[in-house]
Amino acid sequence: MKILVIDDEHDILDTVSARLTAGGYSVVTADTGEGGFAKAVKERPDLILLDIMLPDIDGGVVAAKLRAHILTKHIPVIFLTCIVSGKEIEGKDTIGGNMFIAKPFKSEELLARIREILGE
Amino acid sequence: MKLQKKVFITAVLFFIVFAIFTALSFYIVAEVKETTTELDSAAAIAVRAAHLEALFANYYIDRNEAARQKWAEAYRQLGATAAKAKFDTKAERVLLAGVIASYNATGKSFQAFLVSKNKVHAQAVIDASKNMVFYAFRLRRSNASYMIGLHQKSFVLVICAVAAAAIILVANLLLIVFRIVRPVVDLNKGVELVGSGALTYRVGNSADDEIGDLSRAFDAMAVNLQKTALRYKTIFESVIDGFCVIDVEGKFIEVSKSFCAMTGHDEQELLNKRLSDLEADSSRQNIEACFKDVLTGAPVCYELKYRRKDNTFVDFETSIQNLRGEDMLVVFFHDITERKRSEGQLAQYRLHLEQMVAARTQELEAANHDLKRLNQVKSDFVSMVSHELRTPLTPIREAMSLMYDGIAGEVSEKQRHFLEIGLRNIDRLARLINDLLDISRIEAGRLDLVVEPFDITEVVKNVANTFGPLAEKKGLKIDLGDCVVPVLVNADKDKTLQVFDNIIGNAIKFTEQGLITIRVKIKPAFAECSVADTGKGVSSENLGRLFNKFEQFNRSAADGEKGTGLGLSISKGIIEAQGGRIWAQSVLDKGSVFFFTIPLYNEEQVNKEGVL
Repeated sequence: MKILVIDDEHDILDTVSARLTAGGYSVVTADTGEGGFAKAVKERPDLILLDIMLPDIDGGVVAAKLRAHILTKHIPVIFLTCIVSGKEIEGKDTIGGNMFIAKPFKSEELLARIREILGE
Repeated sequence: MKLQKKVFITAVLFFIVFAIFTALSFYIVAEVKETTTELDSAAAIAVRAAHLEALFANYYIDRNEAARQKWAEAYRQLGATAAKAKFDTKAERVLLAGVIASYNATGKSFQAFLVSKNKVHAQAVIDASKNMVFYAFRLRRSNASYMIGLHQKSFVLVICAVAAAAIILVANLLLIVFRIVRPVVDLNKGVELVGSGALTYRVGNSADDEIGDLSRAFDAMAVNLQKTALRYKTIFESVIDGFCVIDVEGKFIEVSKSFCAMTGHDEQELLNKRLSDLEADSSRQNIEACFKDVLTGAPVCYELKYRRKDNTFVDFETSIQNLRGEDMLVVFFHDITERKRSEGQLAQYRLHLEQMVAARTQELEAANHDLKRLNQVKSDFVSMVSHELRTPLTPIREAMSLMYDGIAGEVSEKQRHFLEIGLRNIDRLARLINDLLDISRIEAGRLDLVVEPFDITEVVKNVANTFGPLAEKKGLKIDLGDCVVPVLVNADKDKTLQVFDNIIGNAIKFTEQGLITIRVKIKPAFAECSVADTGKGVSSENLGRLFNKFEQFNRSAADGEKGTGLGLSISKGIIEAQGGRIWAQSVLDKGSVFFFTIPLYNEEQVNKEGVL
């Protein structure tokens, strides 16, 4: 199973990649929204972990682009966010984000969600 | 003397004179009548005497019995006539006596002749007869001349009567002219003059009669009129307001001194002008148009600007009203220049004030804008802090977690223990950041609620499930009662869940043994949720501070995850933001009950609010 992690924090990319790799997944990373979208189209992962606050485009926009693209529209997305409030989530799940996980998350919780979505 | 008395006296005099003349007339008439009788008898005596003389001549010639008898008869008749005759005057009576003496002598002589028939006696008879005739005719003549005198007397009397009448008539005429007509004419003149307004005119009649009285009364009336007029004039003149009387054309008929003073014109100048000539703007139709209406209708009032003689302007409140029944109007002028000026000033002040208010409003708006910007900055700061604090926490936690899980290599028991401490405190720090963010949102009133209808019993069941393992670990039971009937509430589901998390979490944390009882009761408009435990409870003095920030009781006794002391405070903020209420009851060492209310879903009301 291939998971794409999009986050501008390289420390997060490193640790999450290590955790996912240890969990048996192959991991692809991107540190910008546009780069992440390009990677998603190119690699076509089974799941995308998407940060909301990205330096170039908002995570919501990335999700919308993914949903709009024929090759990526079926890929489930987990938003990684610092602030989970009603306003922030509002509208985003209709775009297609399947789930939100607040930072800092517990590794077990993240893995549990991933397994849940991938139906393992 | 009173005129009435004078007329009375004149009448009496006239009557007396008239009576005297009437009496005299009667006297003269009687005299004439008497004299006529005397004249008749004197004439008869004379005729009969002459006849007797003639008859004797006849007898002397005839010498018969018939002639003698005729004479005797005539003699007897003359005697009877003479005996009857009476005369007033002495001369006449002397003459009558002469007649009678001659008559008697004639008789004697005739008797002697009858006896003697001689010439001597005949001559005696003739002489006596001639004497008798002489006296008789003298008597007649005397009587006639008296009659003539009597005629003359009555003529004089008539002349005198006419003259007296004429004199009385003239005297009366003069009296009428001098004592009645002239004063009446004077009085009439006075009436006309005073009536036309010359109130200072006085008739000045000092006569002691009715017309004099009338004139004095009239003068007194004129004095009163003058006083009254003066009083009203004084009153009007003393009024500061000006007034004038104008005709329908607007021409001044009368102006008050105050009006002259107000306009700067003198009276004579004004009387040659029209009211509209004084108006500052020459739209004279405006004010003159109303004159005809005012004449028959209600008064009108304008605020008009006038031009004074010195070309300054003055504002008058001008009220025009009719003079009952006259083709004139009276106009009152009230100087409102000062008021107008004040109004202008007031308007200026108001404008100034408005400008100040506008400026202040602008300042306030600017300040408000600044505040909003500050708020935005604060809000940005909060999200920045939350992001910036949480972002490093994520890799820290993940890195430690990777080590702890042995993914980075073998970890000794001691290392694992310290890593666990680190992880626990990272979680605690994350919770603290979350709680602080919640509190700051609540206090800023920026708690973003996503209100939607949901079944609260579902939430209760989920929470109970979540806490089930923890409770079980401590040997506690969670009693949900019978959460069978769904209770629809209108609130933020996640936030409500957070409240349940907090309160049930606390209940489990502070209860060592026994029961956690969760109930949902339907009250009017609200669902009342209660969470009761059999824990340590809170003392009554601490109960009041329970919902304050950073209040933690029995800190040491709590094991497991350390609290932040913000949970109840956040719960209170969430419940109250949803329009509900939160409170607690507690008995130390027996347990606590926390209550909070959540608005029930009311389809009608929600729809209505939706429409509104």
